[in-house]
Amino acid sequence: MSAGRRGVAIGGVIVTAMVLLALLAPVLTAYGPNTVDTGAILEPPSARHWAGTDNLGRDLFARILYGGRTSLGVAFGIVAIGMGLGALLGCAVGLAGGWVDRIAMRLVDVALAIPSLVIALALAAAVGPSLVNLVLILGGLAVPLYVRLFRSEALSLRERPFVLAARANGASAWRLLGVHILPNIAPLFATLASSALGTALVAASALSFIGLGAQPPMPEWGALIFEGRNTIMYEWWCAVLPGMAVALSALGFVLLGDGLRDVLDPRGERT
Amino acid sequence: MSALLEIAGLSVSYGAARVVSDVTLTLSAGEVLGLVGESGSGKSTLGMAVLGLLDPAARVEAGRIALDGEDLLALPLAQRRALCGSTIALIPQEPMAALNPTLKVGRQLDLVLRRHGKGDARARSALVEQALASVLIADPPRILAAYPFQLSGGQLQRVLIALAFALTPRLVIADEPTTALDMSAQGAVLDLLVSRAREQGVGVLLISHNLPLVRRFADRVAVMRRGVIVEEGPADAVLAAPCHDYTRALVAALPANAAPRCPLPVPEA
Amino acid sequence: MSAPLLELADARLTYRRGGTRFTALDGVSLSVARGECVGVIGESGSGKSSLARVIAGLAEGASGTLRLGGETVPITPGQRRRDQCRRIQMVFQDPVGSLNPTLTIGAIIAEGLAIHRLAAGAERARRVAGLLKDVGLDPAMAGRRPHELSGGQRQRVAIARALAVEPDLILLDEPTSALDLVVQAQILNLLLRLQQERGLAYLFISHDLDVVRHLCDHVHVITGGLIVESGATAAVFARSQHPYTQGLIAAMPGASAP
Repeated sequence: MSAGRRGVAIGGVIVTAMVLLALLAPVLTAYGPNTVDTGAILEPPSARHWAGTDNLGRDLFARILYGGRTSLGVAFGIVAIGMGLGALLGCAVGLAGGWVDRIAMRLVDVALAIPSLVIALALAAAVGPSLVNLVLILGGLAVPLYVRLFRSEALSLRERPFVLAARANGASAWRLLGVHILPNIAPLFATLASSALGTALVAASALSFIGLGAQPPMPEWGALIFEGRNTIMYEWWCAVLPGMAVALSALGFVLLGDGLRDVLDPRGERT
Repeated sequence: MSALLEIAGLSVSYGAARVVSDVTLTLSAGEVLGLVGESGSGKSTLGMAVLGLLDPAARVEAGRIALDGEDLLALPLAQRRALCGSTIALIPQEPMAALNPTLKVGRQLDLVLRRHGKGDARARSALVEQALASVLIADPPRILAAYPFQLSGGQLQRVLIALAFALTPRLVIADEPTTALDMSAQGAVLDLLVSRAREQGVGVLLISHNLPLVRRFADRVAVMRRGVIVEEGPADAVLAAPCHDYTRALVAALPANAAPRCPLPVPEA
Repeated sequence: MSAPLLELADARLTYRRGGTRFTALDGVSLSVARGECVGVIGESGSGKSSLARVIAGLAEGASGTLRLGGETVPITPGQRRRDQCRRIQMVFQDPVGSLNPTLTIGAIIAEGLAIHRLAAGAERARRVAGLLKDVGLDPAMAGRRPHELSGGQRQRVAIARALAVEPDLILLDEPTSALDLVVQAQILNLLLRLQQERGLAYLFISHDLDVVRHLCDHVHVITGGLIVESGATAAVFARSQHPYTQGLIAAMPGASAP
């Protein structure tokens, strides 16, 4: 098996496993994510509580599983907005060319010149910390980069003979975009999206860790790490296990993305 | 003249398909042997087999490839690799693809000469100048300072020929060297290649599907069809008055040999 | 006498690359009559591909006059009416880049029918099958994808795509230059047959003098963005007037007759 295929296989398995664990949370654990049990505070992992309990006696395994729904959902949302919008706008702009392209690129240049982390923090502080705001802010900040990237893909595609043939035939912009441009950037999109999911997951967890995303008692992984930070020396499971969930998922996404790039990129179509 | 290159009973397959079947050819020093055929006839595979640059999926089933009497197929990989480029040179179809697009031409030439141990910086520089002069390049400094994309196909091919000969090869394999060039450049480039080769006593294996060019520039020609040599002999004789039906059909399919706007006879697949 | 099918007058095209202006076409005029095969001989950088793009309506910033069947047609991109676009179709040099790798052969050929609303559903499928047969391919190929086809087969598909909308003129830009000699003969035969059956006009652009001499009634020689010689093919080849043409003819590989 080639290195690319291995990456896709391993990464794919990890990602699928994490997603399934998150989706099947109610089936996999009897505990609720927010059920307080003052009689079982800070218990280590055991047969009763597979990942132990936190400082309010909540079952950590349940909090991690339900937290996965939030964390992974946020990551998918950020990439859907950032890359989805970015790809659509980028392709449309690249296809249009002319003054539309020029103006759009100047806007993108301005947007990229401002450090994104600063903007993220400022916006998050301004609109108030919440998960929805987190998705919108991080997603929105990613748009300019992807606009530029997919615009250059579209620019090179629009000069390929098969697109020239359609343009000369009077094909509408919708047809050019939907039939010729977007399907041919799909492999690139899939590759980038996989890696971007890893980045988005870590970024969202980081912002939640500093309190700008998910608010307690929501069991998001970054928030869980924050909650476990004080007890990290002796009751290590509270911070380390959610941390491992983030790391493992991010690893899965990155492996999948790298693998997809090897499998999809050098073959035929991207001559 | 002793045989420079001897191929005996060579067979190459890709998986289950036999691409080269029991081919026997000889090439002498200073001679130009044309190898013609349709695409898929196995002619490029044969060239790659001699160079040792076969696709990893291809396997040499049987036969012998001897350069100056030494069996190349029996050599260890490292030694075989060392021959490539220096003793056996390749002039490829796409000159643009053979050069690094991010380096200036002069720098690339210098790097290759350095890798083959052609002396210190001054010696290499002199060698480069001499090489470019020998391929009749009008303005060497401009060519050396340019990036590959700034030069035409014909100019790039001349540079590659200059480079190949600067490494003093015994054998040059030219794999469709003019197919990507304009018509007027094709004749000039081949003329250059063939005259340099004859001057230096270098053997040339000219792989091409362009029959008129091969007829003009090659001494002998071998016609290949589906992995088998169907006809072989002096280039002008074979292509002017072919004996084998297939060769006759190939020659008849040339637009130049047909009446205007009449259907061309097409050889059987 | 009816108006020529295509009349191009004083076509000009300049590019701006970096800071410099580069003139691709410097006042080119030509015409193509119905059912005629006109050749344009040019080498790389001569402007021949720019000429094709200008006629096809793909060149930004082109100027000049273009008339189709007597009617003036916009020369700049994006301004032609759909039915004007239908009348000129293109076939390109590169069989690999000519076909959208994500579509099936049937979808590729049928695209023109969809754009110009000429047929739908079962009728569309019927026409695609008929076109595949016309270009010498098995109608069952409609379900395959481009990467499964050889270079020659892909060019046939490109020709079928051009034929689908029943154009008046097909612009062929080096259609056989990437093909080996046997496949080239097959494609040239196909083009001849289609022209005789359908009364199509061709504008055939190539650097291969043998092919142009074989196929074309009338020929133009282009270099440096200008047409330097024009005339009936036999006359131009037998008694060329311009030194550039003479140089090209002299550089041809050898005596043609066996």
